[in-house]
This record gives sequence, C-alpha cells and structure tokens, in this order.
Amino acid sequence: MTTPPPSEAPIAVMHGVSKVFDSGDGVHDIDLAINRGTIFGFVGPSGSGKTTTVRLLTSILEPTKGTVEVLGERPSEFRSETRRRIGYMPQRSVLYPNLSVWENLRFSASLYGMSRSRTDLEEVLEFVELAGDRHKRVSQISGGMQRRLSLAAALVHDPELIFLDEPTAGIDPVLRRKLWDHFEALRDSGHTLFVTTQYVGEAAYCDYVGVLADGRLLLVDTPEGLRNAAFGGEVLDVEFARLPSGSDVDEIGILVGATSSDIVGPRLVRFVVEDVSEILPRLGTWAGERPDIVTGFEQYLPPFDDVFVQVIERHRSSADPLPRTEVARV
Amino acid sequence: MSREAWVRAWAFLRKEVVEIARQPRLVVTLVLAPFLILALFGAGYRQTTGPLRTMFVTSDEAAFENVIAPRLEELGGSLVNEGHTADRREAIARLRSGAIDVVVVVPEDPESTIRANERAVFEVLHGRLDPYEQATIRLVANATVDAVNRSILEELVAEGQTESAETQLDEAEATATALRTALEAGDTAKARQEQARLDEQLAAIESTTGTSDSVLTSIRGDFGSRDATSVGNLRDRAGSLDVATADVEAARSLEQDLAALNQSLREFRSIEPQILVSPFGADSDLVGSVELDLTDFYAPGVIALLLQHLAITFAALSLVRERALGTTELFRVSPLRATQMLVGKYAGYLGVSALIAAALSALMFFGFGVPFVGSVGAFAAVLVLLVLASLGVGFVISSVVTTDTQAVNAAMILLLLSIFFSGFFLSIDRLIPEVQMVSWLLPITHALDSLRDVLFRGAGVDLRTLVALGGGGVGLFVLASLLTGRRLAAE
Repeated sequence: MTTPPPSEAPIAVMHGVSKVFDSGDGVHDIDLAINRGTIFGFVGPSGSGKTTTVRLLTSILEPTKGTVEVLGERPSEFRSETRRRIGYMPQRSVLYPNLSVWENLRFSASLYGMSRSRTDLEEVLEFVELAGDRHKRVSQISGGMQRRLSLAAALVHDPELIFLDEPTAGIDPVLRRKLWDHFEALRDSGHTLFVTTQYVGEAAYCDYVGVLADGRLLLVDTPEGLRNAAFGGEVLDVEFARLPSGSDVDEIGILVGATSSDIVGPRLVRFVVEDVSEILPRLGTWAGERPDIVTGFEQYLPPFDDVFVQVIERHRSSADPLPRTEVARV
Repeated sequence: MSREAWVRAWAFLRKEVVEIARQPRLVVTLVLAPFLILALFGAGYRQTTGPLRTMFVTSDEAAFENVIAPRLEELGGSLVNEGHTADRREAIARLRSGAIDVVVVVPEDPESTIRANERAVFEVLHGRLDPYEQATIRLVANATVDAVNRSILEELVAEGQTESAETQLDEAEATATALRTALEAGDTAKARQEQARLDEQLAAIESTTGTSDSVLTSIRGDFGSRDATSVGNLRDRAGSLDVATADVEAARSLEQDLAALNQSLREFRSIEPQILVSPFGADSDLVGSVELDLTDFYAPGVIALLLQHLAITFAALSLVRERALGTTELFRVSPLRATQMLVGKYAGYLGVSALIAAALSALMFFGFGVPFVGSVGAFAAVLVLLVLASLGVGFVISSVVTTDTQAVNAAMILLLLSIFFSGFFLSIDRLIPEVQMVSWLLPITHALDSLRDVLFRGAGVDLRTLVALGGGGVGLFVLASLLTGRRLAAE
C-alpha cells in the first residue's frame, strides 16, 4: 500500500472540537487533521463518537466548542459548490426500498444537480460490481449489496472528499476485503477517504488511524506507529531451549535493550524493544553461540485487536495514560 | 430556480410517483377504497328513514277503526300500524322488546276533555336515543294528530254541505223577489208580510249553514274584508229594510245578494271537504340550479373530503418517512434546499391526486349520473387549489411531528374536523361565529361551496375561494419550506 505524501494543506481540520448532547454523551477536545489523498481510518468501539465526528465534519452537526474546517470552509457555511465536492455514506443504508438499484443511484446523482449520462452511472455500478443488478429493487437485494449501492451513491458525483461511516459493518469478510480494495483504488486515484470502522483489523488498510474511545481521540498514527505506541515499542518473541530462568530472561533483555518482557508460553518470552531490525543481527550472533539457551526468535506483529485493546486499556488506566504528544499528530 | 435546482425537484417528483406506483396495496387503498366508499354511499344512502312500527293503546276500538286507522295511510308510509290494544303495559312491553318502535296512547273520552276546554293529548312513547330519530318520531306524531284533527274538521264541513240549506235559500230568494215586487207595487202590507217571512227563512238558514257560511267567510276573509253576503249580514239588512218608504233599491240589492250567496253555497258544496279543511298547500322550487337528490348533493363533498385527506396524509407522512429512513442525513450533506425538495414532492403528489380525482369524478358523473352544469376547467381548478392547500397543511404537519403515528393521527383529526365543521354534513351557518373560524381554517370548507356552485349552478371559481385556497396554499408552502429548512439545517 502506498501513501502519497501530504503535499498540500490538510483537507479537513478539527481544533479542540467538542459536541456535547443533552444526555452528556458526545465527543470532547478532538484535534485532527486529514491529509489529501489518504485513507484516514477512525477506529473505536460502538458509542465512542465516530459517527458524531463524521457528522461534525459533514455539516450535519455543529460543534459545541472548537472549530472545524473542511475544504477550507466551516461546514455550517458550506456553499453548494463545496457540498458537491463531498461524498457521504451514512452508517445506515439510506436507500428507497421500492426503487430499483438504478433509480436509487440516479436519485443520488440528481441530489447533486447531476443528470449524469447512463454511461457515467453504469461506470459507478461497475465499480461496486452491481451493474448486473441494476433493475432489482433495493428491498430484493442483500445487505452487502445495499452497502455497495450506498457506496456508489456516495461516489456518483465523483467527490473529492469521501466520508464513509462504518461502510463494512455487518458484511462478510470477503466483501469487506473487496470494499477496502475499492477504497484503496479511490485513494490511488486521488480521492481522500475518512472511514470509520469497528473492525480494528481494518486499521491495517489505512494510511493513518485515529483511535477513539469514550468520546476522546486517544491516538493518531500510521498503523505501524499505532502498534508501537500501544506496546511502547516493537515486539520480539524469543523461544528458549528450556524453561527460562530469571537470569536467562534478564540476560536477553539487556542484550536487546528491552523495555519490558512477558512470559507468554512455557518456553516463549515476549520482549518490547525500540527497533527490532536493529537488534536482530546482534541477537542472531548471540543465539548461534548459545544454542542450548535460545532456539529461535522473530519479530511479533500484534493483531490490531490487541493493539486496540492495549490502547484502550492504557487510556482507561489513569496510572498509565497515553502520552499527550502521541495524540492527534498527523 | 437554476437548472440544477430543477433537476433536484424533478428527482423528488419522479421518486414520489414511482414509490406510490410500486406499492400495489397503497394504490388499492388510495384509488379503489375511495371508489368503494363513493359507490357504497351512492348505492346505499336512503333519503328517508324506515317506517315506524306503531302500536296504539285505546279502549274505544270503534273510534280507532273509524277515525284513526283510516287516516294513517295519509302519512305516506312513515308509520306502520302494528294494531291496537287496550292494555298499555302490554304495548310498553312490546316496545321494550324491540318488536315495535312507537306506542301511541289515544286519549280516553276526548269529547269530555274538549268540552272542558282542554286539548285531548295523544301520548307518544318510544325508546330511541338518537336525537335525529327522536325528531322524526315527533314529526310523525304531530302528523298523525294533524290527520285526526283534519278528519274531525272534514266531517263537520261535510255536515255543513247539506242540500236543505240550498232549498231554503231558493225559498228565501223567492221571498226577496216577492218583497221587491210588493214594494214596487206599493203594497205595503204585503211587503211587511214578505219581510217577516224572509227574516224567518234567513234565521233558519243561519242555523243550518252556520259552519259552511263561516268557512266560506273565513276563506274570503283571508283576501279582504268581511263579506257582505254572509247570512247574518243579509238577515240584518232584511230586518232593517224600510217598507214604509218603499226602498225598492235596497230590496233589489238584498235579492241579488241572496242569489249570490245561493250561488256561493252551490259552489261550496261542490268543493271536497279535504280541500276546504286544508285549502292551502306549499310547493317549493329551486332557483338557479338543477334538481338534486341527496346523493348528488353529497357527491362533490365526498370527493373533496377524500382528496383533502389523501393529500394531507401523503404530505404528512412524507418528511417523517424521509427522516425515519435516514435520507434527511444525506440531504443535509448535499446541496439540496428545502424548497427544491418540496416543489418536487408537491408536483408528484399533485399528479397522483389528479389521477385519483379524475377517476372519482368519472365515477361520480358517469356512474352515478351526478349533474354537471359548470365548466370542467373551473371544477378542475377548485380541486387543484384544494389539493395544493391540503398538501401545504400536510407538509407543515410533517415538519413538526416526529413519528409516523403522530402524522397519521394529525391527518385523522383533520378528517374528523372536516366532516363536522366543513359544511359536509351540516351547514356551517348552524355553528356559532367563533366555531366557524375553525371551519374556515380547513381547505375543504372553501372548496365545498365552490364545487357545488360550479357543478350545480354553472358558476366559475369565485374570488373568495381563489384567495383562500390559493393564498393559503402559498402561505402554507412558505411555512413548510421554512420549517423543513430548519429541519435540514445543522443541529
């Protein structure tokens, strides 16, 4: 996956944005910047404030505090021309069940004042692989097809900035993978995507990931940076020839410059280090000389589920908060 | 509006029409249900209530059979004689069981009551709660009593039409001639003799024809002063005739008037007693309109009521459903404006309503033969104005309610208000002015009068309707646009 370097000013920026509802829920002190030509993933548990953030960026909601700027304008003051540059796919499939796939797509195009040619619409349907189903009514197609049609409706006017609120929710892994392929294709053709998801693993497909919990943005980084931030560094698994003693673990820890270690199996110890690639040669030499102690080692890439849990736990543990500097830097 | 704005409005028009057309059940309820309602109304409405099954309580069987029973036929089938009994409790028991509708208790010994200078009262018992039916029973009871009263009067009149009075008048007329001849001849003694005989004859006539004479006199009295040819008057003039001065002219006048009275009595005898007792009738005629029966009169009201209800319901549910579906979220992000959406929805619903109106009108005119003397253009214009104003009401409702249920309830409340306050069933003139204000807030109130005038009097669309429905419709559109615009704005 390639990430175009941010060559211009961010396409969307939030500064100290809060939106508090009557119930007390909402989002608090969000600082965020989204670079053009990237996929920005917004990950968080249900109710964490992902949809509220999308709605603040798309002019559906106005912030209680702070400033939002999208495409150089405050959302509440969007001009029609600016709105035409934005695509939005809501969390729910907002389609008319009695209209056909084609009619729904044509209606969405009309909302943007576009009486697009049949070819244009067919291209969008081809893109989401629904061209063969154009005459079916929405009430007769599957949930996954409805999600793809919703995506097509958000793309039909060829927007520059696309907000997709949980586009993969409730659909099977194969289709999710296909949708992410579509997102990557869009990113590669110069579009900017802001995608929220509950599936933490999807963070891997993003150029940047923001982690949201309890209405607060905990962390913004690249997927790799997110792993490091979650565990305090890169992770190295070392397999011992026998049940390791405390001195064995300490000796290896000193060798690799580990900041922490954890016994995760009968002969397996996990070390957190600053840079695995740097210490692998040194550890290889040492292990070659001491085969009776270490039988193998490798870098461990923790699944994003674990990364996410780690980040959330660190946020919720007042004793070990995430450093403020890690938040909202893109 | 710009080209893009029209594209958006057209998208909503097309979407609304297609959505309605794609729902067969909705189309059935929208088109067939009004058809069936109108058909049922036209085929099943009875212009008269059913006959009242009536039992009489009387101990005088002969009087009932001779006086009352024959008169019941005059009531035109509004009453069915279920027989008579002397037992009041038995009759009331049958009333309670539902076997009969009314018990009429005939007064005992009415002659004595009347001689005591009191009315003999028929007691009417029934078990109906409906005030409308109670009024009907009162009307039938009064008509029954009137028939009995007329029967008695007719008998009296018939008695007055005796031939003996006519013979006596012939004799009196001859005596008057003899009196005049004696005066002309200067035979005073014979004249006095004839004068005395004439007085006796007139006294006898007065006692014989008193009733007939008073009936005749009262009939004439309705048109002028008391008639100089009444028997009493003639007797007075005969008595005061001065034989000594040989007043031949007075005698001739008396002779002529007696002849005139005789002629009147002959004519009086040829008149039916029923005519004499009820000499005047009434015949009304509608001016400036075709003749209508009740189905004709109510048909335009049914169409107007259905169209208003459909338009309000369409519009009231429209924006609520967009919100429930979540599409308003898309609208907020898009460049769509509230007015563009409303223009499209108005046009779509107007088109669907026009189709339904055309179908209902065809049924009304070709199916039920409702008369139509006005112009199709004026009729269509009133319906279009009605639908536009009703859509405005519906969209305002839709802008303020939050659920489907609230929208439907609001539409139903307006339907009920329209049935009671629009002049559909009852003339709004029967409402106090403060309540009439509610009537004038309803689009149908303005449309209903206009539709009847167009259909039955051949009138055009009057200015009041144009201003009320047109102006009101525009005002409601502006209000709905503002409210919908607020709903689409950022929260």
